[in-house]
Amino acid sequence: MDESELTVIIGLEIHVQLATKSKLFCSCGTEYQTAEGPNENVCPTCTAQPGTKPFDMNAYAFEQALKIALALGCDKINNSVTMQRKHYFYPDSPSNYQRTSTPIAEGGSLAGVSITEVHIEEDPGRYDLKTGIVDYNRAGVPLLEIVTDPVITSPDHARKFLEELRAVLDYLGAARDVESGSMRADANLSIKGHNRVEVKNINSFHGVFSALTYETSRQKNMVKNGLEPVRETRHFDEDRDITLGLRKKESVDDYRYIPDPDVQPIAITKEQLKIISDSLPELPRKKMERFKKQYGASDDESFALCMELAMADAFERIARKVDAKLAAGFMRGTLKKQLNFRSYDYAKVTAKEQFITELLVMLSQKKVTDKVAERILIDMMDGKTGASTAEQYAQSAGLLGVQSSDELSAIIENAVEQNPKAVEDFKAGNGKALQFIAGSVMRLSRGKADPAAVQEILKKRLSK
Amino acid sequence: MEKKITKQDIERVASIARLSPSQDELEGLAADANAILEYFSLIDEIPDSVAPQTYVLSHENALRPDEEKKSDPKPIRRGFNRQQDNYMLAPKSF
Amino acid sequence: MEISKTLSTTNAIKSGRLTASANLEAKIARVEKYDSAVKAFIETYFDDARAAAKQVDAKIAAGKPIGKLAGLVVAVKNVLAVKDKRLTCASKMLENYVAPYDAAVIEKLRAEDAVIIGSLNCDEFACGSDNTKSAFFATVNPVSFFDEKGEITNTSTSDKYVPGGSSGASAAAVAAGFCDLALATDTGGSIRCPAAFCGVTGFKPTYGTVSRYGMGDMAMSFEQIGPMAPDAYGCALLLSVISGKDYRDSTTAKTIAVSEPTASFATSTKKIRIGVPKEYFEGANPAVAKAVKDAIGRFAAKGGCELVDISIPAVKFGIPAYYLLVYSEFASAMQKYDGLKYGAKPESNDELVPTVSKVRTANIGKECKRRIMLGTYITTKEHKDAWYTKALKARAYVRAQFDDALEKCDFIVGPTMPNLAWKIGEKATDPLQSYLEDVLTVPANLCGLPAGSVPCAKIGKLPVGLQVIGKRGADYETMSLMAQIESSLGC
Repeated sequence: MDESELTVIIGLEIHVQLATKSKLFCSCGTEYQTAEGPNENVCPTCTAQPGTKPFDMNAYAFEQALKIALALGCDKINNSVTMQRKHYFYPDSPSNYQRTSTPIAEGGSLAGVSITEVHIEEDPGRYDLKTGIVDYNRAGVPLLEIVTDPVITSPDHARKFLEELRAVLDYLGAARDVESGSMRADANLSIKGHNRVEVKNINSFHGVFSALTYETSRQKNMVKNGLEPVRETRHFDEDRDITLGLRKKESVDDYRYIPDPDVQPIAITKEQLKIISDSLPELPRKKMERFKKQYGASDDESFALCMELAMADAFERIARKVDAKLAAGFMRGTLKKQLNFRSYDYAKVTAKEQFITELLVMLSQKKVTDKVAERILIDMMDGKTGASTAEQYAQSAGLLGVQSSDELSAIIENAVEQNPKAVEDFKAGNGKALQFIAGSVMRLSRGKADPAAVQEILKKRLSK
Repeated sequence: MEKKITKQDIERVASIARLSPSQDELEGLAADANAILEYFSLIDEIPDSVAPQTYVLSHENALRPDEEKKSDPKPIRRGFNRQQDNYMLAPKSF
Repeated sequence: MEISKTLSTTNAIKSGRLTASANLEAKIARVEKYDSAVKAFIETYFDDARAAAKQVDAKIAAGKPIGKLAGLVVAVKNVLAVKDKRLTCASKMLENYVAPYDAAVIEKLRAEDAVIIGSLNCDEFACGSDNTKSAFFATVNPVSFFDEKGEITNTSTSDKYVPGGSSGASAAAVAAGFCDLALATDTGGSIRCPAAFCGVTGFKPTYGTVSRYGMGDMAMSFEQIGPMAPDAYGCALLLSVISGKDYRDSTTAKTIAVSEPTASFATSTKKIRIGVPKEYFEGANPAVAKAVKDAIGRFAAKGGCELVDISIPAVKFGIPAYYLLVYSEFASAMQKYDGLKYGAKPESNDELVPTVSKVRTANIGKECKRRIMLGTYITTKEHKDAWYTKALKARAYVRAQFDDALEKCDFIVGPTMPNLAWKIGEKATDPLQSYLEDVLTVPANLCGLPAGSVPCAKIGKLPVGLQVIGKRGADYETMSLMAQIESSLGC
């Protein structure tokens, strides 16, 4: 069977935690990752003690949900949202039903992936299947669920979508812990013409890629061998990067949804939508287009700069002080490389914006070469530069470039003297010999000479 | 009224509801269900065009400000039937 | 006009003629003497109550401001959470469950210096109409022991009547003089039915008036916490304390607390139209129907109101619409009981699913299990449209007709119950027969209307209740009419 006939169809249901101080239906705190211990941020309501009721809904949570819906381009906003009870027995659910809303909005799109709907719901607590321990600190934290149409075509496509989603969430500040990847997803994957499989328990951006890669491979192999993948729910094992079938009893066929009588419906007005819409920041794609026009940044540079708001804003500030193209190139190249290597977001070096600006100034004045600049940047990220300015550090580390042309001329003379054979070869027509001498110049200057200047001066000198 | 409710129907429903009636109880429950729903099928007289009414009160947004208020977790933890280091303990599923 | 019993007690305490402690001791003495026969209490809180009464007396002695319920003894149905006390809901599932918090209404009682004497029996998780379905014991209607003067004398009689339900013990406690006031709940008549059977007054507020935070759920879109007392004044006083917005129950979002009854509470201010629905009388035992019709006639004869004959054919859909939706909501409410977080312990803990099934099966009673099963059945995908959704339509249909009826009149009046109290054990087996007893009370819950019951007659020793249903939000006016009827009938 031809591999290319096996079209992969993927849909994602992404759960994003909204950045609120308290839970959706009670006043417990939401910082469950830093809580004093298990079952600390709990109250009678979020542990479903007999007689308790959901409090009035967290207004800020609902607002943030609307904000995200609008930012995702959802053009159909429903004018009334009802909470439903989704019934299933499981230790992580205090009431053995989850409160989940009807769609808030429909019909958006991001990175070419169309969005079916978004809705709001309660996070369940945490239950460890292997040990049986349960912690309700997380139970009731507000979640926004984003459901995509089944139009994602590969794990890589999913990764790109999530990358852009992450950027949008970063810009809005409406979600928690976007960098730590604390979002969860369920994925639906099928090979066209065959059964659909649901994969649950994916707890990070990276996990999505791994789970989809494994599952694509698993299903393709089955289909190639004439086997039909079972229509089932599988569990993603993060430690082993594989998916596993769940026991039948754990899957639920019918959640018996009913509207929650304890929660009044929420009406969404045009006025409210306008206020939120007006308050939206310039979103990543728009900013990218503007960067290309305003700063002459390339597609590639714009994308890299705009995926994180802190970096985009820093770039714009820096671009007022140094050449924009230089800054764009450096941030997309050298800076991004070093950040990625350490798995840092730009936010990690935000405090060093002044330092980076200075470094760029030095580069533009050719006080340092590209290589030296990278070196200084690495030292800064490794914490070696202390409170020094970029210039001070470069000075103290003896990294300042060869400044005066006198100094450079002297070094070039030196190199020419040391390499008579190469000079002869060059004059005899061997162009490569120039590079040999240039190499010598770089060594003599301990890398501090500007390669372009060396080329120019050397050429002039040797043509005498 | 739709078809009669059988013991199997009751068994399935019981499983969904996490109840395990005995065989005798299953018979009794099926009989009760049939008698009750037979009588209740009276509502079929109501025209389908009537809009279902879910909420008793008219539309209102009951929203509260996003503020944290600390609660005492100790009595809640004391209520857990099994616990371990402040976790609640449930049976394992693996 | 005889002064309201509640009003005399509260006046006596406020003026210093009666101490809170003396008032409490009198009640305690009656409990100790008669509760072994009546069996109203699940748990008494005598020590706490004595401490609270002492505090009230100290405040009065020091001339400090005191609450609206100062020194009044209140007993509460054991579906209402009282902090650090057992909240059993009359079920084995919660037999030893201790509430970690106070219900909103309990907070309010305390704030107004009420003296809480103990928790009262009821049907298990409020599922029943005669208080025989408690997992623990059956409460006996005190009228079974009354002599002609209404005093408990013959506690060894074998003619034991049900007190009604599900708040049977709440009515019994008021009737037996165990408390000045009781706090109970009404999902389909659970306050009004026992009020009628025990010869006391009870009131179910407009839906959304009283916070249900702390009330064990039966059916969330139907029920309200409400007062029971010897008279409408007592009900109104208690309601003025417990009503009002609470951010912990979002159905109270647009509520304003009901005003305290004023001096003119039991006097009529303007001419009112009283609707007399024929279905309410056709559906009742002829003796009951006659007694209530006569009572209405006597009241109307005093002037001040106009009787209007009305017809509400949708009454016949009330029971199906009510029970189908109640089953659905109840099944949902009961999901939380899994033997893990609290309540009855599982016998073994091997596999998750059987552990949960066994503990639920062993500790939830028969009627409750029946309702869970039916509720689960009718909300499954295959059956939802035919039953659950259709029931929502039936609810809308009934509501529309009642709203229409309340355009033609200011209040609807009729019998509270179709029958008189039956003997304990008499209506044991057929669930449908039990359900049909609720035919006159469920409409008010379906429609969210305020409704109360006052005693209007006796047939033999058994009281007959007269029901008043008002427009949504007309709680004060409805109780006011109830007070007027009480004083004119002198029952």
